[in-house]
Amino acid sequence: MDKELFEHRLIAQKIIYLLKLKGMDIAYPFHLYVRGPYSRLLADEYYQHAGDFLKCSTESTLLPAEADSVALLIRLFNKSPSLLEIGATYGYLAYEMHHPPHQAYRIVRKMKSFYSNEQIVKGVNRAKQYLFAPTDEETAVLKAEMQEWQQAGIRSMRNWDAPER
Amino acid sequence: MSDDIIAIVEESEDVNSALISRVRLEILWALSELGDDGATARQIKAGLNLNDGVLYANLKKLFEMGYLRSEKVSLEGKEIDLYAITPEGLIEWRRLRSWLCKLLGCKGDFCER
Repeated sequence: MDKELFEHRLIAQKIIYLLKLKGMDIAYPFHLYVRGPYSRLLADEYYQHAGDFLKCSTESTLLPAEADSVALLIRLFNKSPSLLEIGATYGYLAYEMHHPPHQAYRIVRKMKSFYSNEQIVKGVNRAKQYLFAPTDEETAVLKAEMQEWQQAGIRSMRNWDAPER
Repeated sequence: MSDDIIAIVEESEDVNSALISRVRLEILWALSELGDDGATARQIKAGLNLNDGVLYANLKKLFEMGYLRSEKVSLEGKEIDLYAITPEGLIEWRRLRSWLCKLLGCKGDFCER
């Protein structure tokens, strides 16, 4: 990551913010600006420690759960600046400011109107995929609903397998 | 009010009245916390809900006053305009904000982001 490159600074800001939102212990405070979520303290760090930022080196090591969280984030967003900007902005509105999903989506469309609708939908969906953590209750409801589908599927397969008489 | 009138009138002489415009104030406010990272013209435009004409006319004015700097940056293969507040712009913004706070009777943290 090169601090001289706008694109790299944007990627760093949004990745760190999404990891923080996911629950990683990150001390940088973020606020919502025209850029989306942004931390001045984090910016100070990559300007002051440009060498470490370039090498992506740190003395800290990630816990296995944290490493999984990073891997999932990279897999979903593929370090795309536009998807990260959209996803992080949606995350801030929906998960930090607790706007209802449809309202958060509407604000993102307005604040990031220079991106296409397709990019916005993609970015918002990736953020939901990354950040959504179902409660025990939601998991139970989902399981019960899926169980009926699963049982219907099994019945259907049995009927299919049964030899005709 | 009577306590503040002297300070408000005295400080008003130091305030650049060309900055007392809603759009210019919003642009300076939006960029004041973003330091050297700044924001792209399209982020400022969409974030502050401005049209192209208003945005560029005011960016140009602030640039000419020495309160903003601009550069071309690359993002996903496209070249776009980035604007950042200059040290002079930040000093002027803080001076103006402090004066507005006095004028409006805001106190301490209320005016802080």
